[in-house]
Amino acid sequence: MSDMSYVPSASEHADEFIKKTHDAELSHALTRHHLRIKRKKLALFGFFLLSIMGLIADILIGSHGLTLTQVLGAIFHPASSDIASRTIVWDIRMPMSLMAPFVGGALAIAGAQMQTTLNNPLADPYTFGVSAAAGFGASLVITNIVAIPFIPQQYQVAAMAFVMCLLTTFMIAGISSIKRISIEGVMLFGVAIMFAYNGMLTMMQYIATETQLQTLVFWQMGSLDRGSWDKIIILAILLPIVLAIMMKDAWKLSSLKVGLERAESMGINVKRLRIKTLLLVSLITSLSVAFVGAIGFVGLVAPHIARMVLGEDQRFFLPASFLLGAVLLEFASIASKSIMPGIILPLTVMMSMVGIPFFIFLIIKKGGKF
Amino acid sequence: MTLKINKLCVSFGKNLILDNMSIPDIHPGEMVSLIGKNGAGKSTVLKQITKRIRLDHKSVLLAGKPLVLDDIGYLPQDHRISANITVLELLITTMHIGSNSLFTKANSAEKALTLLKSIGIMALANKVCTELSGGESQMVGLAQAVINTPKVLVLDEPTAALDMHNQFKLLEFVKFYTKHNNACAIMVMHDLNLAIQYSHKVAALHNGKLFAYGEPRKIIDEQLIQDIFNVNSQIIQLDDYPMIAARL
Repeated sequence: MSDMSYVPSASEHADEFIKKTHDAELSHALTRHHLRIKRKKLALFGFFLLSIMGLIADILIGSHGLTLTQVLGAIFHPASSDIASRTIVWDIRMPMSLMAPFVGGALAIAGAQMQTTLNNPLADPYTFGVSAAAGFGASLVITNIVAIPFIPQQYQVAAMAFVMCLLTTFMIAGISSIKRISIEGVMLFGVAIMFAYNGMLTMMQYIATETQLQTLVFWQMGSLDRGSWDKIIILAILLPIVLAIMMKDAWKLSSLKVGLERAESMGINVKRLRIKTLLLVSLITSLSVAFVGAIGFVGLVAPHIARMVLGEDQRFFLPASFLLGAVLLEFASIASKSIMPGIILPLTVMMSMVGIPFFIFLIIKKGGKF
Repeated sequence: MTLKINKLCVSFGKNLILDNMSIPDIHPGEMVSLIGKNGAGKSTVLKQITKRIRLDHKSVLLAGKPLVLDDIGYLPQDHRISANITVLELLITTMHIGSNSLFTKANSAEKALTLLKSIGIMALANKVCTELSGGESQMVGLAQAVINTPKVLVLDEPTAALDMHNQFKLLEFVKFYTKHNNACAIMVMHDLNLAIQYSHKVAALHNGKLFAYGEPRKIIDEQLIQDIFNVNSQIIQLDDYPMIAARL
């Protein structure tokens, strides 16, 4: 153990120590680490720019052939632009396009945190049936079976979706905490939940009136055209708060991902951290699903790309997941408007086209073992 | 800074794992090995040390005060690290548990690197944890356990995944660490020869009870090995070192 002399004393600063030792190996490792951090910051900035570009492109693209000048004029000088352009941009395109980054980001951080807290790389609100639960909750309100007291009519759907989301998330968390059930087992449990809720949803469709049925089917498809300014304001206020709470726990969440036993021994109250995080996951998933319907795979794909590019230091991983979720949904929105001109395809279809191959890729890459 | 472990009781259903078990005081600088056959309750003792803190404050005391988690550096038996972060990031994360700031403390990377250097695994600093071999993970786990300079090291089979060279490297470091930081180490050991060589005291566990406790050369003999492992053995003196060989 010739290197023992390298342990710095408690009073000695490491930089003084490095100067003293003139250690080339140490400074090389340090430079590599700093470069890695710089690369992460650059990547985050890149994702941010991409999300802004995606948002602008999404606003510009639409079925009414508005020119770039007309769109920009309506945004920046609404008083001097014509009524038609103003109405299209402010009342139709912007609410739709602005929903994309918020909902995409929300679903992505929900997926990221489900993967972290349940230690399951396949977790996402959609694959684990949490979105289906929210859908079922919403269907109970749409078909007038359930009404929650003291909640205004326009928020009934969101509230019931939240309750069902919460119940399901904690059911999954409960199953995950049983040691003898493997990650694959929890996954299968999630699939069973999804089938159960979908079955119940079909039942709801069966008993629904014609108008209710239309709402239900349309709602299940997931579409940003249900976006509105009041929904955007709610998400714009809530999401930064949720993200800030999660970021406050960033070090603890990173440690939880390292290993449950180690995290516990380091003083992290794993149970409390899990419950707190899953509550936040339920909140943002239910709001997203209640506002725009079920959109699959954003919560699976975005965190995995973030993980591949930036690793799992939650200080970078969380914002990166959020931004990538935003980018994914913005591009899905653009594609949904562009593939068949004049028709907006359901977002679930668009996301499934990306998400399912990615899901299969993950399974093959890991050899079916997690 | 004496560590006291008093009256640990654990049962799973009808199975009594630890039967009101106490271990004599462990003093600063001491390395204590827990030995015993599988299922004797060794790992349970270690888990109780890290768990007891939240359950009650009387069973595990350091310098007469209840042991807090900041005092402990724990290396679990399952050495795999499942996060996609580098070794350096892992150590920096461990240094910041409990911090509400997203910014790292000054010189944290440098401090982590000096520790890696002292353990002799500097080359792993920028390697991603999921790509580490079993032995490398074990060494990194040790670095993680000591990064916050705890007063009690709790090591569950620390040499299990290691080759001969790394077994000595790890134990030499633990010896160095405990001596220079006035810390104590309590570890589960299966290799009795290593336990003799690196422990100040050995606690032999049998059926959830402390069967024998004392200096390794005094308590480990053919009779004890027969009693707790049911193995017929012979102890040979080699350059004044006792070496245990099984008689088949």
